[in-house]
Amino acid sequence: MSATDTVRACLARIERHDPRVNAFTAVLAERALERAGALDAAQAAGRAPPGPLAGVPFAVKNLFDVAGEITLAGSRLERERPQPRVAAADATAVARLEAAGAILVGLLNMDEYAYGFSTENSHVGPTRNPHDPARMAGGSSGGSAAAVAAGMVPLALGSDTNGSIRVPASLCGTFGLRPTFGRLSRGGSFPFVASLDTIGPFARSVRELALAYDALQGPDPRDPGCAGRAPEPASALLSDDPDAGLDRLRIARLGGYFEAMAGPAALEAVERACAALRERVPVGTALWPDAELGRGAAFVITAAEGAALHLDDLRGHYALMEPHSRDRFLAGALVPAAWVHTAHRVRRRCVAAVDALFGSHDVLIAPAVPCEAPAIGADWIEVGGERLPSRPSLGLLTQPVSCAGLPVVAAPIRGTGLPMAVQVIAAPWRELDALRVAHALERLGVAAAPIAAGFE
Amino acid sequence: MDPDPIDAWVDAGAALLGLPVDEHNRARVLMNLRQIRTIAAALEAVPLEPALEPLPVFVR
Repeated sequence: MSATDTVRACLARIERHDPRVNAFTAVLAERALERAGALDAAQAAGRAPPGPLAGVPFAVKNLFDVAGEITLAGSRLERERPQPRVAAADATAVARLEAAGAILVGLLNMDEYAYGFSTENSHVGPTRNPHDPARMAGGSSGGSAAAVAAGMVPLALGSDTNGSIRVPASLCGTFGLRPTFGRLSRGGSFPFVASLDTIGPFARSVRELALAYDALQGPDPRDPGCAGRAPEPASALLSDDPDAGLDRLRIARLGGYFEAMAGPAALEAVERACAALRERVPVGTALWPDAELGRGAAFVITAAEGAALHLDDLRGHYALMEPHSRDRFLAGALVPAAWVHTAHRVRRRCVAAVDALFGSHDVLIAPAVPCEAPAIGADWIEVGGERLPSRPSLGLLTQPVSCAGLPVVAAPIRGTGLPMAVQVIAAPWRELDALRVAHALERLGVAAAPIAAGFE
Repeated sequence: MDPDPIDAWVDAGAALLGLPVDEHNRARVLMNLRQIRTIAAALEAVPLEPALEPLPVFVR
């Protein structure tokens, strides 16, 4: 198939399926077809070798800059400013995927300014979970996960500050990668919490996830938080043999906090994953040091840093901001500096303790979310007999890992109910280990991300 | 019962920063700040060596 045919088919799928899901906030048909035509012409003329993602359509959370578009970051405010900020150039991540041959087809729904885990965006409506449209897609990258789960695109980009890739990947049943903090450039993406923000891909297979990850790597002066490390390609190192490389990895299942905060479906997913691995390699148990403190530190830092970023708009444009998050931002603006300072110090202590854990382990398996996708509009979830507010609590199990800045693959585990993923967590800069274990789970038939029923 | 000082903190802080906290949203702001206070209390209970500096910009 030519790139043009592929893009046309993709656009037709979006037109047919998106009204049921509401994942897209803009479809960039003209740009995509132009790019596809240029790719086809270059190939016909033998001018350029096809890149590793040649002709693959992708879409991005609408916090990524796309030249000529207003970077909305899920807001109404950015569109309605007297002088809206129109992006002059593509975000680094968009440019890198296109340099690898992929073709941008659209922009995706999200929680306003990435402060949420549900993508119940009041301005454009909620993104619906393709596996059950009455349920949340998760967030804040809910449009990204839903677009991939519904088969509208094979690849999408999102961002993950406290779990915004892993939560929607888990609820929608796709693979998702949060990289080591500093691995992938955030250049040209709307920030949320500078000391926690990462960006990463969603896909329906680990190999596609790794191909995108490889294309996104490399230093970038546009992002002061991006490390100056040379790319460490992973996709070519993934073997079809599920045993390959597994025997060198010391794998453990996380207990303690990660069991206490997970409901039955989440624990069953972890057990299925660990049981499959245990048939090949030993799987021990481990305790994440100070998990609750790590989550708490990330929570306080997020509230204060996020609020400070939006202080002017809270003062002047409160009425235009998202009702689900604007009062959380207001509370964050009132956090005493001493609490934030303490949170950063506790974070440093947590990071040191978690790094020590990786002296005796390479990969840790944990649940990704406390429960299956709640109904859209649900204010509460129940975890361990306790009633918790749904929107902040969906990130209970992802925030401790964000605090430590570690790489994680969300791997959806086959089951009988709604989608549910596990977190496959690796040591700093060891994305390859997490991808290897997720790939092994996929090859063993335990992890899979099929297109949702009714969207095939 | 003594009033919770966080009520006065919210009113004074909102006035100081020019934030729109009023009768329509005050209860929600207070609820969120109380949740943060509970978490912050747990963090403040952690014994931290004076030499343990924060990482204002965290880079791996």
